[in-house]
Formats: sequence, structure tokens, C-alpha cells
Amino acid sequence: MKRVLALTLMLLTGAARAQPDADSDEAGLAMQVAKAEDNIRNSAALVRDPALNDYVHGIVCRLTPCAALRVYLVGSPGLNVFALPNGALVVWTGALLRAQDEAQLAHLLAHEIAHYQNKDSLDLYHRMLDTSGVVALLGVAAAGAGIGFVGTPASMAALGAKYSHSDAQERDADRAGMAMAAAAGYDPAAALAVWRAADADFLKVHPWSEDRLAALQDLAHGTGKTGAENHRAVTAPYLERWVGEELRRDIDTVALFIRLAASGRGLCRYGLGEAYRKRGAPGDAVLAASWFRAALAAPDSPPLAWRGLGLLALQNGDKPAARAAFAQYRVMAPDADDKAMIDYYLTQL
Amino acid sequence: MRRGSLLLFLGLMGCALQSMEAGDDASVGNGVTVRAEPGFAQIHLAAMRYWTRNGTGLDELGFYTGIKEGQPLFRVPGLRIGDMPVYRARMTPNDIQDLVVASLVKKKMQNVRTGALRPCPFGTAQGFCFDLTLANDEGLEMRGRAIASARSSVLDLLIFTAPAGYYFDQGAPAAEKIFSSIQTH
Repeated sequence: MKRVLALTLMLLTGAARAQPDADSDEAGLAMQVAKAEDNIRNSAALVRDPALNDYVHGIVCRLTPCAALRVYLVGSPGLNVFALPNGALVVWTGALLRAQDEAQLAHLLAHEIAHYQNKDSLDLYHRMLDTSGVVALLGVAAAGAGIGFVGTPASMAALGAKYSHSDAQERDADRAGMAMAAAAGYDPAAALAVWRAADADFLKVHPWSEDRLAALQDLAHGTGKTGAENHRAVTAPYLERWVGEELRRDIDTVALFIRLAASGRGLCRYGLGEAYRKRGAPGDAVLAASWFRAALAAPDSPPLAWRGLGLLALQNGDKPAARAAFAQYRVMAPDADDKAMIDYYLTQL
Repeated sequence: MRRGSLLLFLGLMGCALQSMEAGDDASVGNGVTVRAEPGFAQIHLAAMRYWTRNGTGLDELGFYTGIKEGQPLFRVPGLRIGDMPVYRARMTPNDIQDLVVASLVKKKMQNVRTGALRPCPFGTAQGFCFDLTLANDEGLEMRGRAIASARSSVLDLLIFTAPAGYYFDQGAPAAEKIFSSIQTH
């Protein structure tokens, strides 16, 4: 207990940055956490775009007095939001893609802020202090390696399976997070939506259960703002990049894009088409084609859907369809990065 | 002197390495040969073949040849083969470009981006090229060039990477010459 208190004081007061007692495990951990934050701050993956940072920071500051929190937006696919025990709140852009509106993102942030304020993050790190877990979690960062542990979704999931928050901690964070979001005027129902759709890796760190769902439903009273239009507007310039990053992950993204495509956004429908095309299971070609067409029918019709149709037809040996789709893609995206390759495909069709 | 130090260092590290003479044709697997440029040494690490002038962290030309359906592009120490993304014969050049990104991410590369996908001759075969920007696991910004070709559903891929700036600017022309020297048999 003394160790937790000592570490709490060091991390929360910033004493670790001043002159920690180098002989104690707690001071060592506090320094590693500070080093991890430094690595995130200087990481090539840190998103420095002011508009996007203002958006996320604004939500955080509506949820809680934010002077003690430092928000870091990391460009990475996958769902992750976590707080270091010194008040560094790390948000992956994959969370912004998955949130269908501002309220869903706010609930995710509020839940993690609650973990931080309840000192659950500190408890988690302290449990690791006696094991090799802390080495796995912070060792890479301590070695000065880029964004360290935040760089690999799988590593967080693997650690989460071993070092997850307890059920009681989750329920407390649900309660506090819901209160925080409600006080900021966000729709309580968004919490249910975002947790039901959360990635399996994220739920290893935040264990989910039917009981937790029922408890969350009991807390979700009343209505509030969703901020859907604002969320769409803020994220629109980044959507193509984020969809592409998800599609390049070495996982089956069909389930993710089925959920995202429900938003009606053209790029998300395109993403579902690409997820089916890349998976290539029996029947996927038909589904891919239908989603590419659905993307083209969306108000924000993305040229990439024409390329998707072209690649699909190319793979199926349907030269006329490939030619027509690629030609349309070249018209819609005359400066596309792969235009030389598309032109080559056209010469071969 | 620099090359001698590199060879000595790598030798002490237990890597299988081979000094190379500029202008020599070297077989790099699956019937692919390339002509060596001055200053390169060949290293065998984890059953993979690299050429480097200054050390694999500073410039690295990787030869990933003879990749068949269901195989990864390369091995990553500490990861099982099953943890790596794999090549599929039905992949288009666009898909292979994405596969390279996914594979480099497994090597803990960050912010991996590709650009300028274009057709390129791969010896007498048709191939394609693309450019890379990325950061290594320490956040060092890097650039790269890749060339690939799928012949009879078997993929050959060469990737050159180096820190952006001096090492890339110095190494890229040599890498391009090596790409141009590719012969397929």
C-alpha cells in the first residue's frame, strides 16, 4: 500500500520528473512512464494537425477540467484510448474512425478519464511492477523506441489479456464516465453503441460482459446531443487515410466495415467493398461489387470505389468491366497516386 | 576502412556475410540475378539476404524472392510465420503494395506510406515499383524504393530503405542501378 501511495504522489505531483529516488522501483516506474510520454510526444506517429487535436481536446475539456490531462492523438488504426498514470491521455485515430458521432467518442474518452481519476491506471501499472509485465509495457519506450508500446495493437491486447481492469473497476468507470458525459450534455445511448461495437482487442483491457451491459443500460437515462454532423465534418478530411490504414492491417476487416458502412458514408461503404475484395472468400466478389456500387451511390461518392470495381473485375478476368471502371477512376481521380499503374492496366485490357 | 569495419563488426555479430565485387552478377534466388554496385556487402540474417554499404540500419537492400501462395514476404525475429501477412497469387500490384506496408508494420515500422505505384521492367518480365516513406521503431524518418514482379504466381520483391537525407540520397541511385540490372531466368 505504501508503494502505491508513494508512486501516486510521484506521478500526480510530477515529482518523478524532478528528482526521483533512483533506488526505488516506484521511482524507476515513474521515470519510465515519463519517458514513455516523451516518446509519444516526439513520435513520428503523433498527429499534429491543429483542427483534429482541437476537436479531441475540446471534448476532453467539456468532460472534465482538463488542465491536468495532456491529450496525445496517435495516427494508428485499431481502437485504443488509454491514460498513463501521470495524466497523459493517448487516443488512436482508429477510435475517431469507429466513433459514429461526437457522443460516442466522448463516452470512450470519459470512460478512460474515469479510470485515470479512479487511479485504476496506476493500479494496473502497479500490478505489473512485480512482474515482467511492466518491462513488456514500458521497456520499449524506456529504450527510447518511437511510440513504444502504443505502436502495436496486438501488444496492448496481449497485455490486456493478462493485465485487464477488474470488473469492479470497469463498472465504476462506466458509472463515472456516464455521469461525466451526461453532465457535458452527450447522448447516454451513445455509450451502449460504442461499447457494443468495440474491437475485441480493446475489450481484453476493458472486459465486457452481459452484466456490464445491463448495468450500463440502467445508467443510460434521458437524451443528449450526438454531435454527428460535427464529427463527420471534422473527420471527413482524414477518412480516406484512416480507411486505407484499416484495410492494410493484417486482419479480416469485414466485420468492422459492416458497422462503419451503416453510417452511409461513401468511403466506409468503399471500405467494406475492399474488405470483401481483399478477403476473397466464396461469395465475397459479389458482395464487394455491390458495396462499391453502394459507395458510388453515396452523396460523397469516392473515386476509389471505381478503382475497387476495376481491380475486382481484373481479378475475375472481366476485361470490359475492368476497362470501364479504371477509365472512370482516371476521370474522377486524374491525379491519383497510382495513375501510372492504372494506365498500364488499361493498356493490357 | 568503413567497409572493413562493417565486415569486422558483422563478423563479430555472427552474421553470415560476403564481400562483393562491383560489376559481379549475383544470384539472389528464384532465378533472379543482379549486378553488384561498389561498396556493398551481402549479409544473411534469419534466412534472408540483404545488401548494405553502411550497415542494415543505415541502408538496406532486401531480396525477397520465390514467395509462393500463403507465404510471408519475410520473417521478423520474435514473430511466428503465422503472425505475418501472406502473399496471395490473386493479389494485384495495388494489393502487393498494401502487403508490403502490412509486413513492414510487423517490423515495427511506423507511418508507412507508399506512393507512385507504377509499372517497371523486372528484367525481361513485367514488374512494378513504388516509393516508401516510413519511420523506424525509434522514430527515425526513412525512405525507400521497392520493385516486384509476380511470375507464374511466384513473387519476387526487392526493397531498398535508408534514413531520409544523406543515406537515402547516397544509396538510392545505386539501388536503382541494381534494380535496372535485374535478370530473370
